[in-house]
Amino acid sequence: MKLLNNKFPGIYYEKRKRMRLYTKNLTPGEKVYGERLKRKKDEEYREWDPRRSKLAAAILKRISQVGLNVNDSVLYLGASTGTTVSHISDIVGDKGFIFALDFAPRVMRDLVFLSEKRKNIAPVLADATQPRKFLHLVSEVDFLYQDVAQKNQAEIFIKNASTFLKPGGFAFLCVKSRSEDVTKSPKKVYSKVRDKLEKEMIVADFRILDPYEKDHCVFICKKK
Amino acid sequence: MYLYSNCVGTFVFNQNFHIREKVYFSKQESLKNSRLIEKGKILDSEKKFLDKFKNIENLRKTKDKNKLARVLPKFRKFHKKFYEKNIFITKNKIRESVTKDLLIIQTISSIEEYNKVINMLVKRLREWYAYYFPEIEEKTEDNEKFVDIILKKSKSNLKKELNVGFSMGKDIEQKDLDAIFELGGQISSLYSSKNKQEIYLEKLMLERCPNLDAVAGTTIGAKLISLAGSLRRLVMFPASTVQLLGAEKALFRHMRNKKRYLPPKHGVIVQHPLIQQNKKSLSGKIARTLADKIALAVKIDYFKGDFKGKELRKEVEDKIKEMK
Ligand SMILES: C[S@@+](CC[C@H](N)C(=O)[O-])C[C@H]1O[C@@H](n2cnc3c(N)ncnc32)[C@H](O)[C@@H]1O
Repeated sequence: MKLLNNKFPGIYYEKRKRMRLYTKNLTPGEKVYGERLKRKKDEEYREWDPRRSKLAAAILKRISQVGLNVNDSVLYLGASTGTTVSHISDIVGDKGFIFALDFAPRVMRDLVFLSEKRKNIAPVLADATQPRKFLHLVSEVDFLYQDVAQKNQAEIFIKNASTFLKPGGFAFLCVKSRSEDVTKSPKKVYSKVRDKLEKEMIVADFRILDPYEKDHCVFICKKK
Repeated sequence: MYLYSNCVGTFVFNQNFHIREKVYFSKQESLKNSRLIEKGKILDSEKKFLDKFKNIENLRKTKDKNKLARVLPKFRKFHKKFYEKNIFITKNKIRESVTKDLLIIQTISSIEEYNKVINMLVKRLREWYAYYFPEIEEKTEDNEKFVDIILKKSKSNLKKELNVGFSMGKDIEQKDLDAIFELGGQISSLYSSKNKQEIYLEKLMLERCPNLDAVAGTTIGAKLISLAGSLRRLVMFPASTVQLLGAEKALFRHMRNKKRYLPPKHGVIVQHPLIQQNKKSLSGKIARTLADKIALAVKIDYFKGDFKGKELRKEVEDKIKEMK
């Protein structure tokens, strides 16, 4: 297993017919969502499915950087049952830390089980639109990840970045076009989001996730 | 000096944002204090410091982002504590999230699944039984009745009752018949479980939202709660949204292509007897009236007002008379 490149620490690949991504399993022997496990030398790796995780999709669409490092602390908004969270947990390692937030009790249940196995994930049940309501559950972080699939994705992202992200820290935003406005074309939605982001942050890169995820895009931003 | 509390503890910072004093919370304290913080209340642990230091500013509610930005990095070294506290707080929040509304939603979903499963199995039973005695199969349209009859009455009795001289059905062996009746018996107990759940659902609905139950009926009322997610969210919907709940697909289709697709007239409330029993041309109008009264009923239920369900339903019926 080879490191993808030095801009993506903790992310490995294997080139067969197509590119496959992996992260080093923090809890060897354990799967999180039915992904394939692979042993190489003394290490175990978990295959990272780009159709289940927008971060993996963005990497396969050759995003120029992720801005995520080993030992980073992360605020993850829209953690769901922890598919992507688990790979970020592999990447930041046992000295890193993730505040994994979601407002749906149903998915939080799975996230609690995951946290009990992975000591670098803290499950936070709260509404991402109101950072002030979970201020007491979170510290400053090095990296922000947002995938909430609801309206006003840019506003929520900016608000949270300004509250929790360290200056100069990277932030990754997934935009689901249909959540923003079903009547508008994805292109228009993306460019509107971009305008809002550019007022507050530096937009470092942008990718449309087709064919892995229909009508979704991601932005990688840097806090000024 | 600055004061700041989170789920880990209460902290006093000096002008340079160095931690001067601190109190760590136990598991139980952190749960209790988190709840207070979410409500914007002052904590006991804070009072002590507010008394002790004269010139101290509580930063929890500050509008000054810069000050907050000086404080939050100080908690990076507490990740282990954040881990423990968050797991405990989140477990408690999950526990508290279980409401009567969720029980209503599970029950109505379960009843709908019973219906699907039963329909599938009855179809099979009808096909199968028809080799033996197709004449009764053909005569009994109602599924529940059909299952009941074939389990209770023998072929010879049924032949007499229906006056069938020569049946097209073959007299198959007992062991082959047993297999058919095994399925019939299972379906019959599925029916009785489903009926029990319907009675239970009605009880839940009468407890939680008697007005909605009276106007919309138990099934539609429960489906509306299910579509909204909770009674609280249903209350926030205007009548026009209530009218369309359950028709989201058609609505989005219309919003994307207004010329090609007409807007839907109604969602689940179309199954209401007052719409089903009246002319189709009136269904849009009735749906609107019904949705108006349902929205009102839901408000009464949510804010625990007096029972007005019967009157509301009567008002719908009267309005329908005027339409004709
Ligand atoms: C598309 S899923 C996220 C999938 C996940 N990021 C992954 O890759 O494994 C979106 C999640 O965001 C959550 N969500 C939506 N709005 C939210 C809000 N305002 N606050 C917190 N979570 C929210 C939903 O409950 C849902 O679990």
